[in-house]
Amino acid sequence: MTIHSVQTNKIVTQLIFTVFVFVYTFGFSFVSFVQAASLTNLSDALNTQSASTSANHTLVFTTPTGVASGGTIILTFSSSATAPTIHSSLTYTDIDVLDDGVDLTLASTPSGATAGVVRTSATVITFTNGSSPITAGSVVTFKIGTNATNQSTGVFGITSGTAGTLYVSITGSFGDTGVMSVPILSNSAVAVSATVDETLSFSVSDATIFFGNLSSSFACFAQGSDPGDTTCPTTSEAEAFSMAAHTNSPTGYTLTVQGATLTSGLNTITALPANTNSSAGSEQFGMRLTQSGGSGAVTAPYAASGYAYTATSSTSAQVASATVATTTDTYSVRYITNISSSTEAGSYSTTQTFVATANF
Amino acid sequence: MHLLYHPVNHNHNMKNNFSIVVALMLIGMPLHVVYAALSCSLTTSALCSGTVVLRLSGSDNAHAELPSQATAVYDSNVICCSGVTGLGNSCSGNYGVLAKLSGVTNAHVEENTESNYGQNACLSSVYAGDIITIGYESVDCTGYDTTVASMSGTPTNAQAGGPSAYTNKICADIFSQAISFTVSDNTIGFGSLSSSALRYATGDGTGSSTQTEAFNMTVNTNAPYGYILTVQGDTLTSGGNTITAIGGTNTTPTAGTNRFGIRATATGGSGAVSSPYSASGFAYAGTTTTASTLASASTGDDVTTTYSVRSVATIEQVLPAGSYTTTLTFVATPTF
Repeated sequence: MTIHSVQTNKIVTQLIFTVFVFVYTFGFSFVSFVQAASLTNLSDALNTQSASTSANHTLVFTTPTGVASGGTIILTFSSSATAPTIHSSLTYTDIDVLDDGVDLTLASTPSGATAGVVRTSATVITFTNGSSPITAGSVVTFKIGTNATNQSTGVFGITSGTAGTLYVSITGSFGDTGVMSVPILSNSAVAVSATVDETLSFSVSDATIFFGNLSSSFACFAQGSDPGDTTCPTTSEAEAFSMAAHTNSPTGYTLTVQGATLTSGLNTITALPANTNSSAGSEQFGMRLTQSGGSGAVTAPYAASGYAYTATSSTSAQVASATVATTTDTYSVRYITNISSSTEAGSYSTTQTFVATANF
Repeated sequence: MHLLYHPVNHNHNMKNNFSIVVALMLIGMPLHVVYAALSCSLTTSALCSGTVVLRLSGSDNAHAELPSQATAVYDSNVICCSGVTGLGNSCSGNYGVLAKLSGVTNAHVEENTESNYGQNACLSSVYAGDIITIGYESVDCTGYDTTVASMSGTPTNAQAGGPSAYTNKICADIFSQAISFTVSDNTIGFGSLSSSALRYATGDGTGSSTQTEAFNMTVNTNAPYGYILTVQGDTLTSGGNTITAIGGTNTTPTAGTNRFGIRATATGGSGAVSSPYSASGFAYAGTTTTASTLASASTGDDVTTTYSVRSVATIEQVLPAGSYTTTLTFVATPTF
């Protein structure tokens, strides 16, 4: 019987040992959590980490033990530098408390299922649970400040102290404890600046255009290349050159032309005072424009299918405009000249100046 | 975390089994990265350059007295601790009780969970973020920073000794939560923006036509679960006019498309730039009310990661003239 007893003790000892090994090997985390009662996965996300600035806090932690009915969670804010200050007017309306993501109903004091939250001091907030326990392993969240939106939107937050490390210690009758550190900088913000200048971009594709030798038999249109001693190299309307303009002026821009008609000494080719169709054999000098791209528009009398030229050497004429800011407007400019059989021989020329003016 | 165990009577077979247990403990031990370097040793009062946490009448088989006492014979055997900034022997604030004493001097000791004695010998830190753990182990203090002292027996009515005097060890660990976060420049600028080319922000505010670092940030923590680095703030704005944020897709903007974005690169440590800010293009998904994760680390390795931040902008031709500004708020949140 004695021998049997010893064997039994050995078996029991071995069994206990085996269970111990099994629990330790496969259940270590569970065992240690319960023993330690240390909060895990603690974080406090602020909306700003600048010193001496009111900040919203979002504290998150996992409680291994849970919080019984009437149990308290105490948040204590401190710092390695100047301590933070909980706003003196902060109440439960500035705080949300969530159990596994579900908002708890809060009041200043607990009553039934309603939990109580109160600013205990300038550095302490105390939560007292209602009648519904927070179960072990729950993720508890405190939102403090304007980020608290349950029941009402928070107004008051916690003003951080001077630059250093902010500590949030969590204690209370619920038994678990923990602490989290958060950096506080003199300034955690970066101011970014940029300038958008008033702009007017204007370009002219060609500074010299040519008609060649004019003819009383058919209309001649200007072209960009010099045809030499050629009569009317371009007899169908064609683009002589183009202009481009864009501006960020809210009221757009104005595009004008100034210069005399074609002139040879004292002789001139009559400019068209109104939009007029080509008439071979009659003296006519005129232009028209078409627009593409942005929001600009050709101005009358240059917008119709005929031709006109109303500027002089001393008077400008508006040829196009935009009334709002516009991306690039491209104007295709076409020139026509007709002469009569009595037009004086000579080399006719003129210089026309285009000006784009932003309306800032 | 530490597993506290109390071995039963040993026999030869149990010693073999104990070896297996130790091996399994080492395999199953949760990762607990210890960064603090708390170290305690038995020395003399005159040679202790750290903090005396317990005074002994001898190196073993000794009585103890509180560090606040000054019995001359105890000067020859003091437990001296050092290696952690802000260390103290206060029994208030952030502290752990090393042992309970039967009196302020000439005292027996007991474990801190006992309630027979009324005098506490403590290990403390001025920093609330320091986590002080006291444990009682047999054989050694594996898993702790240091062996503080030892006891002739457990859990109470014990003689005290230096760390090596007895197999019943008083162990201590201080995990000093550490988080540092810096921003190199609080003001950056693009200068004059262009609708025909991309413009990059610079620290001097004048901007650059080539991509360059606008500012950098550093993060260093030992938080077991690392950290996230977020950015929050509006896009560039002038009154009612805005330069459109690129959004959550990494893109190299086309000149003239009215876009604002940032990107970052990371060097050092385990931190990494998060999508959409990590690729060669740019993005900006933050708003005045919503933070966007710029970078993160899944574990705090106590090594500094430097984030080089670049910012790009280009405007459309019709964007009204003005001074466009915003404030980007960066927040580093560790998880302990």
